[in-house]
Amino acid sequence: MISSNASVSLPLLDQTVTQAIVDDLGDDVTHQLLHLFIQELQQLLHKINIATVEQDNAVITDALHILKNSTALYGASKLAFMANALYEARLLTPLQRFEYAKELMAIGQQTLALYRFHFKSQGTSKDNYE
Amino acid sequence: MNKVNHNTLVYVVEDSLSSGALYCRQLEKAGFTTKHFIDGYSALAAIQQHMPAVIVQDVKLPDISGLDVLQFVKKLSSAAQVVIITSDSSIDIAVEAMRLGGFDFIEKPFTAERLVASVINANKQNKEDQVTTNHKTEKLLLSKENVVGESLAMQTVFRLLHSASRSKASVFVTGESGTGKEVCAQTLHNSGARSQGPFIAINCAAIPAELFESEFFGHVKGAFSGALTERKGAIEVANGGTLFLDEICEMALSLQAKLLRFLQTGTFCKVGSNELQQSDVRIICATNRNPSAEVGEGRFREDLYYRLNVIPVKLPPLRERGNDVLLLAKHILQKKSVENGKAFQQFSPEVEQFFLNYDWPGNIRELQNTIENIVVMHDEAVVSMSMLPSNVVKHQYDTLKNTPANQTSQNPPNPVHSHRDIVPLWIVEKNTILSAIASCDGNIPLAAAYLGVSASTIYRKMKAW
Repeated sequence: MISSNASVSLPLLDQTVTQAIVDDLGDDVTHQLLHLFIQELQQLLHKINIATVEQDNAVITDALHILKNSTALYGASKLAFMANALYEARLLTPLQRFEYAKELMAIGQQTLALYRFHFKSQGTSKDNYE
Repeated sequence: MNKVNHNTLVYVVEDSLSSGALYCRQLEKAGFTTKHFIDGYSALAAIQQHMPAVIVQDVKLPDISGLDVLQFVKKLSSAAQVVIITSDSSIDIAVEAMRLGGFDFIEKPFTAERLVASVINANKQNKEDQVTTNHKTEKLLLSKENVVGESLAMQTVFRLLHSASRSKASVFVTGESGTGKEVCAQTLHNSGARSQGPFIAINCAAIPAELFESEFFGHVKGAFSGALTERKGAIEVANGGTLFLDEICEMALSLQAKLLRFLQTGTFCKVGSNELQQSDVRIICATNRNPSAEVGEGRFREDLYYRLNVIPVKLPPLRERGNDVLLLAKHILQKKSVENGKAFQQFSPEVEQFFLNYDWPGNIRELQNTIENIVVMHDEAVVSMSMLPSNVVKHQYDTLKNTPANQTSQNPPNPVHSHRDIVPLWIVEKNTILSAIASCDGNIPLAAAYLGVSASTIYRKMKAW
């Protein structure tokens, strides 16, 4: 079983990463990008959720492949770590994978909520990510 | 960060919408124009429509592998540079991608600086490649300087060489001795993608049969008495380049079978070894015989002939190349004058006329030797008839003497019936000389050559008339 303890110290949202994007590309572009990220994250979590219920390992793997990279890019460090760990955990039984996917889903939902909250609280009309 | 030309197009092929969008914005900030594709087939369609300068290519895509996209791109002319982006788990694939011609690979996640730097370098490489391509086109044109000619026959040869230079297909060059078969092979090598590789020439007629296999495939130590060390053969040495097999029809049948085997499999064994080796070689072969006749008479394997004769190039003899002889002569005169520190500038009109009339049995090699002889033996600005080597003049005289028209003129004159019919010898001689000069359009040195005397003899006699 993969231990999620290693990810405990990692933040759900690493603001140094998002701030680097702001510094590089500016507020407007960053907001557009984060909007895309949140939409994609929502879709991927939904996909993983359904695949976990249906116990469809291939769909989970495909979704994890995208998730592990995009979350790392946008500073969702804890979720990135978990997605990567599950993607690389080839020795797990299917049942173990589905259990871990549920854990990942929980972290994923927290991350999604945090991103929505964080960027909504920045206070522009563009930030409606609900 | 350096800004680049705004027209420089970069395709980003990445299945994550948010990741691809981030890469695009980072590249746009650096001045690139970008397009994002989330699957391989959309990217392939766009590439067919318009080739970008650089492609940032994810390996794992939902439909096809990024390596398939890479292979597709690299088969096209003016191919883009491809930067592979990959996560840790697909490093092996990325290494394979580099082998397939990828420009760079970056492990995900990466910084904006790393991505932009890689794309800038790829774009730079793309520009250099375009310059190299243009240079290669120029190089082919320059190479033609060595295979000088404007005649229709040579234009056909140039077209064939141009097409052949873009492929790896075997080329079979035929032509009389001295027509420039090896120069043709060297030109082909220099103009093609293998120009940086070795050009190895073997004269199949010059190597003893018992040594041929060793020369060709190499041998291991102790393979035969005298094999004191391991030695690479021509096929191994020519790896990545071109192997030119001159006088291919002289190759023994047993070796022809081994050459065929190599052409079929790309593998060979050194003499005395069972270890299979590979070599990537382009074969250009040449003969002054008629290869299909050799096949007909059983001296050359038919299957080998068809495998080698993918692009046949027939070099015309010099006598059939019209004014090319003068172009070549001027080219050689200039070259030899520089080599020998002489001041020759041109040929006299008489020499030019002689060159055009001469049948050049030794073809370009004979022309080259003739001019080298003149340049070494004399030092003037203009090549005159008196400088021509005697063997060339004599050959022309003998040729003319044996032509049917001249044979008729050599018949004994009609018998005279009375002393009043006898014509003085100096008048006979004068008429003969004037007739010869008229036949040569007033060209006295040429007429002298035909008459078998020197031009100065004719001038002296004319002065006396």
